[in-house]
Amino acid sequence: MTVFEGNRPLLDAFRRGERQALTTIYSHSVKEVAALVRLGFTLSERRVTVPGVADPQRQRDLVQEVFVRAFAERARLAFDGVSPFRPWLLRIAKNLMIDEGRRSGRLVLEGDILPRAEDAHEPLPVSPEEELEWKSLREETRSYCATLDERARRFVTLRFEEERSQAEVAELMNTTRRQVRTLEDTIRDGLRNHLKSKGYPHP
Amino acid sequence: MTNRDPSDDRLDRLLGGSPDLGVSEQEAILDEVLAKTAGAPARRWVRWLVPLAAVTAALLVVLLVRSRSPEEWTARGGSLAPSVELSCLVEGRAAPCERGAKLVFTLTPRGASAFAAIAEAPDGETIWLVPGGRDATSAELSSLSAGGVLDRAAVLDGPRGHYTVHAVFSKRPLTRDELRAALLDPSSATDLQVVHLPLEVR
Repeated sequence: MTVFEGNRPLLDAFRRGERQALTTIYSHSVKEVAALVRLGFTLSERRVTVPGVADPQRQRDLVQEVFVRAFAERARLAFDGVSPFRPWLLRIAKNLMIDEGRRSGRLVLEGDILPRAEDAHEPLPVSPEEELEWKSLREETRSYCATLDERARRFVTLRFEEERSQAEVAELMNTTRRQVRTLEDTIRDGLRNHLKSKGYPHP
Repeated sequence: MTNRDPSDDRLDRLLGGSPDLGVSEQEAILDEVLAKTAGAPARRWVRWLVPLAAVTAALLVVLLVRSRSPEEWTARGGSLAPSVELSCLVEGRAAPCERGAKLVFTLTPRGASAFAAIAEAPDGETIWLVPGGRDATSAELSSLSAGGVLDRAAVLDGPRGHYTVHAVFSKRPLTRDELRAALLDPSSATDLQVVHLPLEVR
């Protein structure tokens, strides 16, 4: 379902560049864009594989660039509101990744490559090594969380799993944002130390 | 992008249970994106003007639609902007736009020197109409006929349904890469006009 379906006021606010509308659309789409950037994709009929970006900093830069382009004034005004938004957004991401691959020399393409809407449904599989490392680190993270008290576990759920803002978490936990920030740092430090003690020097 | 401790971001991803961006990363990116793209918050008096402008625009649209066929549209810029009209031919005669028909472009370039058209099919496929086949660039308009009919037509061999045709007028012929970049990121394009037209293929 497109983010604008049945929501004309959101489309109008998007075109005006209102922060709340842009935030809503960003929140609705950012995970999918991030996954595409991390995993890469396949242009099936052309048998071309565009690899994902492993470096987290580069992932962030690319995701940011996708939304900067999609939210630029001319892009907002040019979006017709009839075409589905998701394929339009993912095409921007795919095109950026192709350009990035070409510039870095990782991707050598002959002729024309035009990303298509359905390519987003063909993410590349994660390498077995990466998957194993992620599973192992997640298992240790769960072990660490099991040692936390009930309040800290609730914080992990609200802030990291449900991805609520610090202000929302503060309100839900009947505390201040300052205390939320302190708790966030404490939990990160605790996990970092836990992982180091288990032999992960640079988590 | 602000300077962030990369290990914090990794920890956030682990705590969130997703290998993609953690909550702090998402927030940092959003801040940067809004700083670069969001409009200033509307003042109260401006908010009153918006519905008024919408009503005015709606009235203008009604007047324009009454005076034009549904498949003709004019780019922003009013009468000085280039425009394009889509029509279809079957066996050399004007006909409804149905599968197998030839799609013909009648142009009013108004100073533009090249023309391209790319269609989005109902199934999401992108179809190059002009340049088509082995053409490397958009069509030059120096030899456009007096009636404005482009000497290249596209056969409608895609699925039936509602298409969007993106017509691109430019000052010089553009390669497919340049056209793609312009359509994906209109903010990067200068010296060109893009007109979006609905097309129903029956």
